[in-house]
Amino acid sequence: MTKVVVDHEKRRFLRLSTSLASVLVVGINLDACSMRKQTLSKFDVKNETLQSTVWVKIHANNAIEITVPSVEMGQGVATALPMMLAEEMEADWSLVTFKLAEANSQFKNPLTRRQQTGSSKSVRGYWNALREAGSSIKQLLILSAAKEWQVPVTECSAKQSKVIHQKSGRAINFGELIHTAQHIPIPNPGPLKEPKNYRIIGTSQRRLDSLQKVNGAAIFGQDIQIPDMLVAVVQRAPFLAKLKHYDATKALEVKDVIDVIEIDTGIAIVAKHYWGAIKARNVLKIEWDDSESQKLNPKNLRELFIKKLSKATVVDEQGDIEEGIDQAHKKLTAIYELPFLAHACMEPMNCTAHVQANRCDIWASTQGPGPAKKLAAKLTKLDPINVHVHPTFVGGGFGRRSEKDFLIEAIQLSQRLKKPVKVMWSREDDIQHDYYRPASYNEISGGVDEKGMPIFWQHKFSSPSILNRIVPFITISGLDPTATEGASDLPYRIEHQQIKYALAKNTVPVGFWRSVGSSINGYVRECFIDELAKLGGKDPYRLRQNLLRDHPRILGVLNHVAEKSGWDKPLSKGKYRGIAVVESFESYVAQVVEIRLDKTQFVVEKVYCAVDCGLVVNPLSVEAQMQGGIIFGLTAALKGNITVSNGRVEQSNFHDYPLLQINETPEIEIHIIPSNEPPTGIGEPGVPPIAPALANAILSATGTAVRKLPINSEKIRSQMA
Amino acid sequence: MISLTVNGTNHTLDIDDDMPLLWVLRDILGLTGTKYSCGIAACGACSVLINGESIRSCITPVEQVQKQNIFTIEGLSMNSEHAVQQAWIEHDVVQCGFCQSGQIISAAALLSENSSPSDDDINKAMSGNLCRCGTYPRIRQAIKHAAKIIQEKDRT
Repeated sequence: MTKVVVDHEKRRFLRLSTSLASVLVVGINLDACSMRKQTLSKFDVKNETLQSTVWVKIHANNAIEITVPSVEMGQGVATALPMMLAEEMEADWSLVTFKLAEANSQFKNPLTRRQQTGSSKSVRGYWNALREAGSSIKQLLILSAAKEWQVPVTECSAKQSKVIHQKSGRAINFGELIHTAQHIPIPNPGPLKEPKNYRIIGTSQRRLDSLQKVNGAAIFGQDIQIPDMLVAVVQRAPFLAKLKHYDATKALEVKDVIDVIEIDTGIAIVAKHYWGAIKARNVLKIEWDDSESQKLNPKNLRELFIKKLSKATVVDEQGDIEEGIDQAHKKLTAIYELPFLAHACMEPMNCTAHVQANRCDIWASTQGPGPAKKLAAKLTKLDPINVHVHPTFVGGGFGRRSEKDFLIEAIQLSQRLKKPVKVMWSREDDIQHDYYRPASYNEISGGVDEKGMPIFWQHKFSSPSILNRIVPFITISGLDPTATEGASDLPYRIEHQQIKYALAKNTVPVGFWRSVGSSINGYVRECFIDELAKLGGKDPYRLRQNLLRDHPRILGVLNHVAEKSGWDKPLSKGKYRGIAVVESFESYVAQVVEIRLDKTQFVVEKVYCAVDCGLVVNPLSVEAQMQGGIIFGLTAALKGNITVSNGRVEQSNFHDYPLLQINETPEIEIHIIPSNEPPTGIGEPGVPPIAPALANAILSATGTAVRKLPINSEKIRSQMA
Repeated sequence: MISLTVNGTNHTLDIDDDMPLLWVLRDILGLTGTKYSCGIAACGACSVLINGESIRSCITPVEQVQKQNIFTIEGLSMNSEHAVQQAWIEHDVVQCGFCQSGQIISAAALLSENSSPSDDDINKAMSGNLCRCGTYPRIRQAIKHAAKIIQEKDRT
């Protein structure tokens, strides 16, 4: 039985679960919080009615359980978000555990108004909300202690999960206050702490989810097992193909196969277990009408991009580009080409759905429990209140799991079979039916004056648009901010600039890929500034330093990484270095890469990284995200390439879409810039600078710019030899 | 019928002889700590210990491992007290965590053979275990730390 005490005036409520009298459950409704002063980035939509609620359980034994509204996909939110609340609550951190939230509108990110984790927005989004909730709970516990002791509230304070009465020297554990606290309305948050008084925020705390991830207990979407559950695999159509005919006779003869069913995305084979489904799929005969698919091949795609360039729309313009071109002492034009990339999360896509007459349950490794709930309600025509999206750990997201394709498959199959169904994607399915990081074709020109300083910058590029697929109306003007980020708002002070973008339609499906546009445009921008430095006879670091004088925080990380890497000191023979700096998700990251020419290969030896992400919540986690972003970016720079032939992706598994291995991983040194600015993104900003920093090291070594990714190691080796 | 010994428990199962051990563990025995990621022995997420060696269960037909001692991540230690697990926690290695069962199994196999691995030894033993989150730097540190834990235990 649950008793709910609601304080209507403040629209906050406090709930005591009396069936478990040993626990106090506190819900802080954020609508009433005075916390709407977040720095909003330009893509944030207008304010809506908020329903966000923070839930905290305080047990009589002093244990504290904080519900984490974001999805934990490796980025460390299940630790960082509780740290923020525990700080203001004055909790003893060693007593804090976390619980992943199910889908509920209460858990919407205050910044995005969605319960979807992405855009490096968890810490930014919940920064004020969780701290204010923590402060309210602390006030509640102080009020409770003061009441018990019959002393003025002002004489009490809280520290390390205790309320203290200084005068009498008394102290009481939070857990001992839960019965008194249930009768007291939740107060408003007090003034939030000054960073100098932090005890938890800013300290390196180990992850709260480590134990279950080292003993096999952590449950990912792939691991869901429920009674009577069937397992399905789907044979999906090549891009732009339609089903002509299929013959399931042989497939149905395979042991433990239950059914073969046509669904929206292809032909599903349903079995008692994955192996049965896979065996049956191998003998399933399908004929596709792939006449349209033939158009999707490398030659056509490249021609499409080039053709589109002539119709590019101006994104940004400064000065007079024609005048700049006229005035230039020396000029340079380059073509930069970047490939499509797959996400290749270690956990292939999957979803388990159980649709019944009056309820629907979903277990999925998804970045968007909120949108998943909405989707399931729509497909099943059930009231959202009867749709339950249960949390799981997520085996890598990187943007891929913000999509809905795998959810739809499981829901449709469970509806048809009236049983719980787990849809499993094979690695081949995962690589070949992704929403790819857009490829991009760039024509970029620049010139320097007589002193060697850049005088004009003209960047025209064409790429498929993610937003054009998802929310086409946003791209009516021909622009897509996620496609142009990193290219628009050029931070370099160059008098004459023009940036133009051309949206290429009808390619392969494209989607958000860790750091989105900045991974593409950051590469072109940072490589070409090195090309201009070379043209003007300048040091690439010193030239950036000069051109970034209007941007103190970008300059800050640039100078820091240059200092830490000993930029001005010569390297030993056979070693070369490159530098790059990219701002993304409101954070600033600069990296220096050192490479070495070996007898048989070139080796990426060391990476220095400086990051300014505002106030740091968990330095240990920031370091991990930078390391991970660098390795993710190195995989793309050195190996990543998705090619399409006749509507089919030519790569299929890790043998032909390889990832960086431990033996190829350089030494990585992370330097975090101390800051009291509001915290900014950290999951993605480590990615963009690494590829251009590496390419710039190669430019320094060989004299030739790397204008096409992935880097052709064989070619580099021959140039270096 | 297939008879199998997993984490010290015997099982007799009515399954196809050619079913890979991975799917027997996951779908038949419910041991989901061992992960599926590639199915072609190219990533190491499915690694299990067979007679102390790190084996890719995704391509190992179950009939081939009858009467052998199979250990999965669930059976590596009673209370996560294996030196590798302890070092993994100490060095805050995991991110998404999906590949880590396999990483830990391979690291445990390495250390059972070589209690003082060099960087090259680590490279050789671990290069077949992929991690998309990029936890390699901490994996390297943790293996070295686990080696120290094991050496100290041996001394006492």
